[in-house]
Amino acid sequence: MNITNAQYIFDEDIENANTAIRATIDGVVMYVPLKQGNRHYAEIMRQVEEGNLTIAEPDA
Amino acid sequence: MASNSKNLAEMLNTDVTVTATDIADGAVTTAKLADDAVTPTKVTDQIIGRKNLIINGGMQVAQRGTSQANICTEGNGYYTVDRWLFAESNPTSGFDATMTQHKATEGASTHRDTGQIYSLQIDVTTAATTLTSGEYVAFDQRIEGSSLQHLQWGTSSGKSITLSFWVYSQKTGDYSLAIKSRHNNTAFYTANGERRYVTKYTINSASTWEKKTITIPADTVQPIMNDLDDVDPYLSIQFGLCGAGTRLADASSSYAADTWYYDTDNLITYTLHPDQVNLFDSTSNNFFLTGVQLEVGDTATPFENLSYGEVLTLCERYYQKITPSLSVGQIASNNMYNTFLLKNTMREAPSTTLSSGSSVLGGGWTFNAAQDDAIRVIGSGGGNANIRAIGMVMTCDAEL
Repeated sequence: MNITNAQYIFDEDIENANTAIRATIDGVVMYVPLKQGNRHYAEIMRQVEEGNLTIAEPDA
Repeated sequence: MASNSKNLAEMLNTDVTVTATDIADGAVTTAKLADDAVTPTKVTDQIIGRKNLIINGGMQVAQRGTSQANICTEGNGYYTVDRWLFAESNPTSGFDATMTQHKATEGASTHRDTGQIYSLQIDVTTAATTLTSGEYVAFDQRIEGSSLQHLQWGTSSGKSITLSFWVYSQKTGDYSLAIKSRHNNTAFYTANGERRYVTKYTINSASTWEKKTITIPADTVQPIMNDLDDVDPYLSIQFGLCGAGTRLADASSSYAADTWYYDTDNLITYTLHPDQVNLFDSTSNNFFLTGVQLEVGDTATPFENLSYGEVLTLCERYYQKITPSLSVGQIASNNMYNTFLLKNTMREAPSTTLSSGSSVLGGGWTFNAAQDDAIRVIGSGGGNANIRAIGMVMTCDAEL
């Protein structure tokens, strides 16, 4: 997968925590839940671990 | 009970034939039947229940669309027919193809020989007569490991499985079929690799629908993992279309065809049979597949025909497409939350795309969070305003 522009999404009212990652995956903007069983999240974390991808902090 | 005349005939040893009338009603009990005496050929498949481990084997559901051009350029992904994953190695030889949910033309019998209206079609649009080592193209279906525990693999009681399907191509010859038992426990995977079984089938006649049946022996060494002991393990049923060099099973090593082995080389090698033809050597070539059925045991039975609605429901565990419209009046500048319930609970919280829709007022709606049964969106319009969007398109992807 070609993954770029990864950034956490923060929910300030209900969960007060990051809920997902917004990323462009193979040219499509996707919202990826923070679930290891999600194949996109697993791939994002793999690329992060390899040092090939950085996830930006959420917008303030 | 036998008649008196029958008894007399038997006493005289002139009639040794037992007919239905010789057997009293209820005399043949279950206990009188030997184990496994009633085989699938003796019962109608309608009473067996759900037997096909493949979802959308008749290719009738295509939520993402019916045609995708340049799939080799686009890369790995789910296009057109649901549950079927296109897989490749970023080939450099320049070949390409269009993937289509093909519908049989009304009145044309050829594509209806299969008993199916739809098939998955790979149409070669750019050819390459020579492949670079390491290239491969295939497509596969991944079946959740938790759905396969009854196979009892990893034990001496492991059950074989039988795959049957209809195939059609202008390109005759041998094609690869690979069974891959994938687990995602990193430590285990690094130490042992993926379990694989690579075999082949032959397309004998050009431009003719042929039904193929392949029985795969149980893997009595490695269990199929389930969700309790691994993260989303699966069994992959992969149809090869071309491959070269290190992609081919190697009889001179431990990665031989027609035997189970551990591929310890991080998925990148030994995925196809060494006799695999190159479908992509001519733009005249197409590959059609339908009526795919995987069942327990060593016998192929008639294809399990389900209604469109039943197959769609099964597919929606992995992919859904919905088109919500939402208009809410905002009070002050509080964030406005809304939750869309999904049609069916999905395998996992899905990756989501969300278009802005039309007739947007305020800031419209954006994604906020996902669960396996719902998507929450958030809107903010600047205070005391309507937040509206009509016909947003939301896709939810929880494929393996």
